[in-house]
Amino acid sequence: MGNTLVPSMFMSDRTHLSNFASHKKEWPVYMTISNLASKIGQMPLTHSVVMVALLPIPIKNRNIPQKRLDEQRQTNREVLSEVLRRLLQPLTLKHNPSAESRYYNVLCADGNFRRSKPVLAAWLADCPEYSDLLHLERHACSWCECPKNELGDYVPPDKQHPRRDHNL
Amino acid sequence: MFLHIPCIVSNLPKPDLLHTMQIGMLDHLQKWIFHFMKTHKRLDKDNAIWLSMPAYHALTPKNKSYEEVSQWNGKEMKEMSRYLLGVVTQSLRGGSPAQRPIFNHAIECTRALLEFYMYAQYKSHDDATLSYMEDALHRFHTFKDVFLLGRAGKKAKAKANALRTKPVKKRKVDKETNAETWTPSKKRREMNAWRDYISHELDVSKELDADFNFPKIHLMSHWVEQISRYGALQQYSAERHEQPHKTNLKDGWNASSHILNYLPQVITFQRRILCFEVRELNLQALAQCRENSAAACKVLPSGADLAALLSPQSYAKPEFMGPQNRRDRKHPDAMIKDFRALVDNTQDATHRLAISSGTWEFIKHKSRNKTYISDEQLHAMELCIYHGIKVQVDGSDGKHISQMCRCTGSHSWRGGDRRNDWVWEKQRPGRCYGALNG
Repeated sequence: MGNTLVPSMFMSDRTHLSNFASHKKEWPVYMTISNLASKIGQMPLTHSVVMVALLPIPIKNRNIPQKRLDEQRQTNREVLSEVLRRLLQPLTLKHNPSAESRYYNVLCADGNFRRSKPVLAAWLADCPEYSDLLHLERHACSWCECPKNELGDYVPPDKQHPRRDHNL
Repeated sequence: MFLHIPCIVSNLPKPDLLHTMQIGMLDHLQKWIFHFMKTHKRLDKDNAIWLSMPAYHALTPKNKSYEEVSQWNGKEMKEMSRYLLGVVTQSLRGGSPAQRPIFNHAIECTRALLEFYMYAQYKSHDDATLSYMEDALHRFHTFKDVFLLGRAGKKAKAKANALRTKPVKKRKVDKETNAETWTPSKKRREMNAWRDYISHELDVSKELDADFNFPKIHLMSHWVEQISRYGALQQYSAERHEQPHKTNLKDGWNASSHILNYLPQVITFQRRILCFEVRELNLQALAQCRENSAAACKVLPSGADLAALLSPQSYAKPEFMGPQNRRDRKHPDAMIKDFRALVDNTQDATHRLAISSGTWEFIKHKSRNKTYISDEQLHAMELCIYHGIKVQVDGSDGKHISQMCRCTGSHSWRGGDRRNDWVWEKQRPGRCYGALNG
């Protein structure tokens, strides 16, 4: 009895809908799994990439006092965090020690059921979105703690800056 | 944000070929080269070579120079990366011995970045290719200082321009005091020397203030490590999730009423389209299944016919027997003939069922008024082929006018494609016909 690991990949990208009507934007989150063959995954008609959520985009606050602005930003972060928590809940459920089974029974494309375990493997976004999602300052590297005034320097492979996640 | 998720957060970000390279670094490189050519007075030559690029396999000839185009997209950048080095090398030919080393550095830098990009696109890697990538990146960083002037931002430029005021005032005083003693030729010589001096001073000031500290140039340094851990970069390119924007959001937005709560409309639209396309995929899979083994499905009469009838293209562009791709596209007359043969065969009940169910789906998909016909009714109806039909519609003044709709055969219609559309017409005795929908 083997188990199937399902590395799920999420992608988020802000997109612009209209210049009129107060610059409408959307922030969709797409999901796909990395177990797909690349030939299938790259074809838009196969619907390998599905939209799972639209994240809230906070309204731009101008001309309000700094204290209220900070409060508002904190609220925005909490809202985004809560939305993501609900969105990714199925991934965390089976990691809970009190869960009955550690695996999902998943119907696969060949008609068989498999015991599979989904994990969050990647989150693809562009640089400003990483800073929103990971709570970094703007123009900061999402992998390492490189200071801003050394971004342009050559980094030899053996002298990389320390990782953001110190568990590695 | 990801505190509660069991994952390593700094492993989540993956290198993005599209944003970092194609519309990131390559775009920067183009700007630097543009600036470089301008300062070394090679811009005309560069543009001439750029515009004289002939068309070749998957290369469109350019009819605009680089600075005339407001925004470049990823595909154009990909194309450009294939001949940029040639253009730069050609336009930097010759030059004085003092210029030569600078030109060589510029060419080396361009080549190193393009090499790095080409290696990053590889679909499989080994230690050798990774070491080449590292080497290319190292060379790029060694030679990039040639383009430092192109990196001067607004602040550096403003600071440099502020330096100019003092010498200008001094120069004015000099001019007035020496106005009588200097001969015209001396004046000219002084003027030229002064101009050279000022421009040199400004350049030095700009170069001192400019730097390469922007995120994209740093992100490249992680790529070698990321490739060795997670495989080739092509699979993480943002092209893959920029594509669904169109079907998921933009089409829905265009079909919505653009009012304040447009989101429910967009989502309903997207779900309807999605359900339908998934159903089509299922039907196609079933049809293939039928071809392979006779067992599978009872509803589908003949796999090939149904797949052709229900192919996504035939919905997207209503044409007879929707051609699968351009090579298979038939002349419309031939298609009509095919279709006629199919209609003649409709005595076969299963074929009829296939056509009517396909029609039913199409009506559900396309028309806004979804309730005006049922599957069984449609099944019992007559199937005809006309080259044109007359339809009575309500005119704006209350009178009935009859409009002619006909297929254009092999002719094009108003400069567009030829039109051979499906028309579903519903006849009701005693009442006028509604306007044709779509």
